Amino acid sequence: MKGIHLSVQNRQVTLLIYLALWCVPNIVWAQRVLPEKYRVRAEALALQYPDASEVNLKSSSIYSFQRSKRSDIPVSATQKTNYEVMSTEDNNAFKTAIFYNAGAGVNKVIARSRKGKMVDPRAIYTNYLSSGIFHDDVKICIINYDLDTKGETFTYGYEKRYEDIKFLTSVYFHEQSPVLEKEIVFEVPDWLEIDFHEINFKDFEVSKSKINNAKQGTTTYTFSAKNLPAFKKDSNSPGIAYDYPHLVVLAKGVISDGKKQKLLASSDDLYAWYSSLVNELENDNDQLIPLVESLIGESKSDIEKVASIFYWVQDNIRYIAFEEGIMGFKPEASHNVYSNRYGDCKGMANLTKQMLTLAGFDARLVWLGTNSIPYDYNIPSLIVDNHMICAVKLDDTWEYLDATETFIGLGDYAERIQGRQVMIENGEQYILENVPELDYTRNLLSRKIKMSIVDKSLKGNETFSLNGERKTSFLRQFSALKTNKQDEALSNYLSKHDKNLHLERYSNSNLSERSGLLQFDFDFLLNNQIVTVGDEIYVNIDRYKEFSSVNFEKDRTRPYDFNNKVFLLSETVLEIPKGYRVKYLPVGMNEELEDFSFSVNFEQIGNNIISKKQIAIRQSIIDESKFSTWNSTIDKVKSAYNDQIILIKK
Amino acid sequence: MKIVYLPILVLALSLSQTFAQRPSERRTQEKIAEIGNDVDFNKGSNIYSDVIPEKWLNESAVILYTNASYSFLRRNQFSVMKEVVRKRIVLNDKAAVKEFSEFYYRKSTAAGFQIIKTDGSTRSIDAKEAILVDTTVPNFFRTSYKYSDGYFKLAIPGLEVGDIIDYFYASEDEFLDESGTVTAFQPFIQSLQSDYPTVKLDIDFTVDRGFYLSFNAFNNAPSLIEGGPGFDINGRQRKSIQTYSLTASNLDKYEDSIWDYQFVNSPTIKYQVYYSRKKIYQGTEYFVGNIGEVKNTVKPEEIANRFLEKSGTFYPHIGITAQLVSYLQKNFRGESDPDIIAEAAYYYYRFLVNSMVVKNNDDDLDASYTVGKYIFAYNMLKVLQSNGVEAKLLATTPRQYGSIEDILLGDELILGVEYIGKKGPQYLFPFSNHTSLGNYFFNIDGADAYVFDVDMKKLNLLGYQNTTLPQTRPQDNLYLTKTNITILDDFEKLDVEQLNILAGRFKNNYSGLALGGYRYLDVDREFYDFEDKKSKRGNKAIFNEKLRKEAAIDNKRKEKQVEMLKSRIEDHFAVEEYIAIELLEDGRMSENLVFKENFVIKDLVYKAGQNLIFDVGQLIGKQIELSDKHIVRSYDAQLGYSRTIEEEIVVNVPNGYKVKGLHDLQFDIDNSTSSFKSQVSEVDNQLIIKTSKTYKRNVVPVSLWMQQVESLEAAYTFTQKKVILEKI
Repeated sequence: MKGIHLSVQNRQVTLLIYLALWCVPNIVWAQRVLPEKYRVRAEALALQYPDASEVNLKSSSIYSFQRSKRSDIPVSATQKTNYEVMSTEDNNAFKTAIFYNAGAGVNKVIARSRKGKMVDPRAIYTNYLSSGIFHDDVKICIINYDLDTKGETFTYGYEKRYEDIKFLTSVYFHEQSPVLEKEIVFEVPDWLEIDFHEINFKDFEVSKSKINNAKQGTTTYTFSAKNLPAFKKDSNSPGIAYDYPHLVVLAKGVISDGKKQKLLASSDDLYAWYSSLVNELENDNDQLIPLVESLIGESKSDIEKVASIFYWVQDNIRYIAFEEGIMGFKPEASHNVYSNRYGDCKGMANLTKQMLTLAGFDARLVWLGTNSIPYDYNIPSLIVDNHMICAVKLDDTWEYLDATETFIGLGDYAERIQGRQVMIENGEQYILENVPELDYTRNLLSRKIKMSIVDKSLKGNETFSLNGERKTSFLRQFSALKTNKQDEALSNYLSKHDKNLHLERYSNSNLSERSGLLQFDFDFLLNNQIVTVGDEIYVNIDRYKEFSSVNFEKDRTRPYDFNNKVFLLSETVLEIPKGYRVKYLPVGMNEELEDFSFSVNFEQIGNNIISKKQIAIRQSIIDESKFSTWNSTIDKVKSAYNDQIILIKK
Repeated sequence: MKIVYLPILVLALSLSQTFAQRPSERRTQEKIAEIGNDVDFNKGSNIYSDVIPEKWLNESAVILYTNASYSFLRRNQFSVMKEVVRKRIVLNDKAAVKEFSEFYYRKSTAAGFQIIKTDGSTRSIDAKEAILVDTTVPNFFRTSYKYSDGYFKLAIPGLEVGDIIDYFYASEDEFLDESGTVTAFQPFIQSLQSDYPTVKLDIDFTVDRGFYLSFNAFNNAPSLIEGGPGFDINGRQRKSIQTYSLTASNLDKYEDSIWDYQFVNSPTIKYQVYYSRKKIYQGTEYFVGNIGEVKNTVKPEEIANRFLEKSGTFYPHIGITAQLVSYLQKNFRGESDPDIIAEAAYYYYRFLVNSMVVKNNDDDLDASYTVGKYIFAYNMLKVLQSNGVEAKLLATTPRQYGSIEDILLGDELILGVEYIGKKGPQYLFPFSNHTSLGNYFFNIDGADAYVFDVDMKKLNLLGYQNTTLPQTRPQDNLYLTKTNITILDDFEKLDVEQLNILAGRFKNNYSGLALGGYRYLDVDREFYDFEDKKSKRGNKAIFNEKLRKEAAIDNKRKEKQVEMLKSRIEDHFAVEEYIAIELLEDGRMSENLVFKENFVIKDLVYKAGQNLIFDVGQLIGKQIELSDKHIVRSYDAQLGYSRTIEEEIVVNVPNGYKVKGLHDLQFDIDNSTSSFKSQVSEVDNQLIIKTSKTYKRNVVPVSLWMQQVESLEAAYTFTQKKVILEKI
């Protein structure tokens, strides 16, 4: 039922309120003036950081470590963070967020005014919705403080406690607002063996010190940096771990009673912990047996059997992720995922493994980091991976099965896992391999268009095929549509929502088939592409103009992630109408670079004009050093796209 | 479930009694468990069918059965409102499985789920894994009564295509009665059609002694039928408890279309329940029926009486009334022109309210939240009548809710004033910060209304009559742009200087945007010679600091305004740079809002050999693109208000080029619903484009829709036209 809610009005204006409003009709300003020096400094900072509303004059985080009272957790860590903030504008409703979770809680949030008086930080604790996750334990504490006057300062701080040191993984220098002086301090007790892995420190000015405090039995490591701009929020940029300097904290061991106890000293220890979680699983696979038997049949080849199981999980288990506490690391048992018909990546990987094992295959669980993070297993930390898939051995080769990627075929890999290092379970040990990297040609879009001019319109036929990421992406989105909306959606897809294009007929390959090419074939009538002036016809034959609007802003400093590599081959044939000849053919362009290439060419062959277009983006991420080249290339591409063919009467 | 807020709630504050006593939290958990026991999935299995009608086999999902039961019972001094809703839905495709796999239900409700598999077996779902969330909840899952106190999210396991999901939620809320007031429960205007087709729908009400039910059905929605005695809070059947129900079946899903008023087209019900120990509601805005009856109409006299009764309670606002009267006495003594008096009173009233509620010219605070419809009508009638102007109370309702004769709920009502001006009847309605005289809500344009002759001294009703509010003419609601365009030297970018002249409803729509950072309160203070003594007190340093901060606020607003203006231009063009806006007329007391903009756009001129091809059609901005499904229409098109959009564009043709291909740019469509006309010429090396688009009606009947389509299609086709700038 559709309905509206007529909210009941509950305002009751009393005489008192009325009089109060009427007697104080104007703004009541705080009756104080900030000393001039604050305003002067704020104005200087505003010039230095024009996009910021405030600047952190100082920011420090001190990490200390304690022996845990829990037997299963040797060491805890405490982070004490403080900020001194100066507003660089008036009427600044300062707001910042502190992330925390079940394993790292936030407390002791305090704030003080410029004069040192305790003030209410108006902390709001709430859930944080992580994209694509049904439920996790990520939460945020939002701090609010009104900085009415430019130059006004206040300080705030909080304490964050990591119950288990292994959840203290990385520490960044940059903040949401610029920082003038940043200090990260680790007070490491002598009984704790710890390393700090420096990432993205090239060209980063940081001073480091290490002071041994014999009396306290600690060593203090201090990392200091100055004049740090705020984190930059450029669209489609890769994760901050790729380019922002940070420290990965590697707690390797603890000395207790003269004996060394390993924490995460190497990837062996990381694997041991992961493995211990997997070993706790109690998979009840009995109910899977009839299903597996029905899927593998009797006469299928190994590849067919594996594919049957892999595709069944893709098609029947919905990705719904629960990532709370230890469930962020431990898979759900196979029978639960099977009966629920949903699971996260770990649950789906485990179900796939169990089904393949029942079918007689050597199947393993696989940990890996997707391409949203830059690490590999040289770093023994929980930070290095964020995904789990299954691997199966076929003809002595590992095939990687990521059932969260619906519509992906056996032997095909999504961009996000291609080339990534994987940790494959192997009993007491593990195997390090890499997912094969597929080149840009995997994502081929191949298009052929034939058309002629009929009554001021272009009439013709187009066929095109999709492969790789383009294909899986289409199939995934299409299958998610309501059945009775699919025809309309397909029609809109083919016409590109262009009202000028009338579909006269279309056909396509099976839209639920993951193997082979995805193919479309349609006849069209395209209006409003032709201008007739006297004896001349101006015609533009490119209605796609791919990438013509992808232009990087001058102030963009972070890489751009296309999410996929790109390969496009297109051929358009325009029949020259009888009684006309070509007066002008667009010059076209050709730009061949290492990471990307574009070419658009026109030529007349007999009675046809043939335009060929080729686009290749060989790496999905374009580095900022190439933006200038990219922009100038796109300018040329746009000119080629928009240039018109001119025909003239003979 | 689509939530639509009544515009009148924003535009006119009602100062009514409230029902919003906080529900008692005690016994909540036990109650949830208890009410959950009332729901039996086997109950009613004989009153629904799991057979999907053939015509809906291709639907994503079909609601086989909905049963919504609302009971209003007494428990000691409490009113107890209980809502039990059950839905049985068959999932026909993967999209439906996905949608219902992540299920939401309101916190503080008992909820139960079962899945009926295609083989007939049943699985119950344990809700203990549900997670409390504070995210946006999909419309379909929002509950009817009380929807804002958080939701649980539940992953429904084991769902497959062909399954039936059968679920209920039930809640119970207690309200402590305050003597002498009316407890008013949530009012509803509700279409019986949903996002999915419905095979059968039952709605039941159980109403205890002391409760009053208002209900009516429209557009062929079934009427309410009285049933037998109901059961009290302890499960005992009592004659004093009345039951009512309606059953609807074979309801297609409702598909929104452009310019659609669903509550005028679709089977719709309106209802609200009240509780009052004594029938005391004179100070409220509710229309309450009699004991034992279902109220289904609001008679004109009731509206007038409610106004007169409430007028007797407006002593808190005597201050404003007195100031209005005093202002007119001081400045317009002896004035006999009713239009001058009305204008003076209206604008001074607006100034008084803005001064009270608007902080430092901040448009985020809307004066309309303070000016209730009853208060506004009271003050304006008082002032006008006391100055000898013939003025009457006017009552109407937004057209999207039907006719004034169909109103049932207090919030549907809009009150204003009709006064007799020199040119006949004129109309005044509650204002927002910038509303100018006579430029009232577009959704009552042409609405029918009652006019009440009331004596404001004696607070007597002298009589009433039906009337229709005037329908504004296309030329009353004008958006005229005068644009001068220069093609820059790179032959890629265009420098655009645009003068925007807006009148009527367009002015209402754009005032907030065009007046960003504009110190209109200061302008009003100066106009009314109002000295802000308080601001001049205190020491100079503090005063200067205040000025500096005000300037900072203004600058921020101007920055925000430029962002919004740029974004508005970006809806139509690829914007290279937004350079400036200049406000020329604020339109707050005058006919037109006028502002000038300067910006640079690109991607409209391309090289074609040595010539240039120019997308001149696009200079008039993006036009409505009707798809095939828009062209076939089942319901009248509700365009809101008639209007005219005119463009006068001058393009300076670059030296060394001449324009060719103008012949395709001449359009002349003119029919009974609309028009689109264009004239394009080249004069003195200037390309001159004049277009005019007119919507002549605020409602286009289905029978004339194709005429409207003709104009809309012409305007769209114009945007696709190009000319050649040929190198000489």
